[in-house]
Amino acid sequence: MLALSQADVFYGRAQALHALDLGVAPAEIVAMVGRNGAGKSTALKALAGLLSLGAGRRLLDGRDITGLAPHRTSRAGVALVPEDRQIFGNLSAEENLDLAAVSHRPGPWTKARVFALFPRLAERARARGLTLSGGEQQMLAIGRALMTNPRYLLLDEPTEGLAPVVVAQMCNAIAAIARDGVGILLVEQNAKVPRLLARRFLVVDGGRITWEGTDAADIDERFNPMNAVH
Amino acid sequence: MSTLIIGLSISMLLFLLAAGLTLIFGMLGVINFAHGALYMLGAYLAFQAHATFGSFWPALIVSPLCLAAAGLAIERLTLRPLYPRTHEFQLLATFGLILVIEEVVRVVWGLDYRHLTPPPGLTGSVALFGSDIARYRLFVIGFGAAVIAALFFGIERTKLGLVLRAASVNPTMAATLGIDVNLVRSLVFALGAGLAGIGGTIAGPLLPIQLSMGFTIILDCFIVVVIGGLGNIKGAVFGALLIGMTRAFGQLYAPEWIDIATYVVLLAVLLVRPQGLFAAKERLA
Ligand SMILES: Nc1ncnc2c1ncn2[C@@H]1O[C@H](COP(=O)(O)OP(=O)(O)O)[C@@H](O)[C@H]1O
Ligand SMILES: [Mg+2]
Repeated sequence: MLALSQADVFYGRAQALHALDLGVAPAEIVAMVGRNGAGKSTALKALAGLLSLGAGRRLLDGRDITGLAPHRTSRAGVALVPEDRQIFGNLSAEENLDLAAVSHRPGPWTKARVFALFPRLAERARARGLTLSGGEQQMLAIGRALMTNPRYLLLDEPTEGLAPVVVAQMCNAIAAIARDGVGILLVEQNAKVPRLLARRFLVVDGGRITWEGTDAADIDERFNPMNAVH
Repeated sequence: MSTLIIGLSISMLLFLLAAGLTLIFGMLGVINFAHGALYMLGAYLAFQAHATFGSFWPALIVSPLCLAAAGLAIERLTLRPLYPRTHEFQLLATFGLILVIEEVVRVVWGLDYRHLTPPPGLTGSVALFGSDIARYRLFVIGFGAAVIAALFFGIERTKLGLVLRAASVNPTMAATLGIDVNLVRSLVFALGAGLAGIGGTIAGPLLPIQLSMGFTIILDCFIVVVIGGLGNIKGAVFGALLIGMTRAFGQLYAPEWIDIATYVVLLAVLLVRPQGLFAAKERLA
């Protein structure tokens, strides 16, 4: 289980998360939805150790990892795919993958396996990061996270701005990764994709969890800004 | 011909320092004003090692290693606590280092000029293309070229180079992938200081070893780094060649105009390409 418990996060004096509780178990896909500015990315960054907690705790399989630095968090098995992908534009696609393996012990994920998951990446292996299309960058960002052999994967709007056929491909990949035993926290701004993948849903608004449940049927009304619950 | 050789040997010396400066800037975002002082310290340590072991070659190993170790300590003790602060604090810290290093050298070695003799096989000169060329200068060129090749190989083809290229562009993402960015910063500063140690040792037989030697050369190195594009190692090679040749040919034709000439070269480059010969987005690549 990777979890935040009663977590507060501040940017300067502005509080972005208020006593947030959330957790994801191995092989589980949990979806966190909410409108722009709700605090979704902040929660993922806090889980990855990129933001420190003003109060509360961060837990990994029962261990308190509240103060653990980002690189140690990664080595402990938590991988973040950030919203803006952050591909190294000066490195080739293959080098982006190699880089992620440098600080980690070998595990089930190898370059060959990432290329099998995203065949398009194999074709573009030698291309510089900055020449990749949006879809290719997203595949690379996920492949790169997998190269760290994570037990928990944090995906920040992985289908944002992608063509429908690429979205479908991405959904298949995410489902396959979870079947492999990886716990996935999936962040999206709407429930279209989460509904296909997740069993458990969180709606976040104003830095608080406003709804939590397994029934995605009426979730649209819950996170849709027009009908937002407070 | 001999002017060309002199120019190349100056270029190599400039490169050894400029490479360290540009690597440190690329990774740490700090302009290391103390780089000239490290080079000067390297020359004195080489002198000491030469006196102790009775030969030039041990000096070429001992001095760079001592400088790398000193670099490691300097980064951890003086720069790392200042990363959360603005850059002015780090600049001030490197200024402070100059004072400390100069004082240490003054106390240990005094104010007398020192000199290194070239190793036995490299004294005297050879006739080449009709002119007399100092053997030691040929060695400096060959050695410098080998260092350039090793640096390029290290940056382009090794894991550490991969980490360096990534972490210098986006340290946060590198850390998110498990890379200990603070360690990378320490290693880069140590590498830069080690290169300054190589430079100081190499310079020993060419120039008098004295307290002001660092200050004399570092201005040229800043020009080299700016010409090449801050943080770009390829640019440092070209910048060093440009300034090295300007110095050598200037000495021949218009010695009193040399310093002006280097500034003119700098201005000319910046007028054509304000960001330097190589763009910053290709840093370290
Ligand atoms: N670097 C930052 N500095 C200051 N405020 C920030 C920063 N990043 C996000 N915020 C603020 O924190 C809140 C949550 O942002 P974020 O987590 O990015 O939301 P989401 O990912 O749900 O769109 C917003 O009000 C946003 O303006
Ligand atoms: Mg966001």
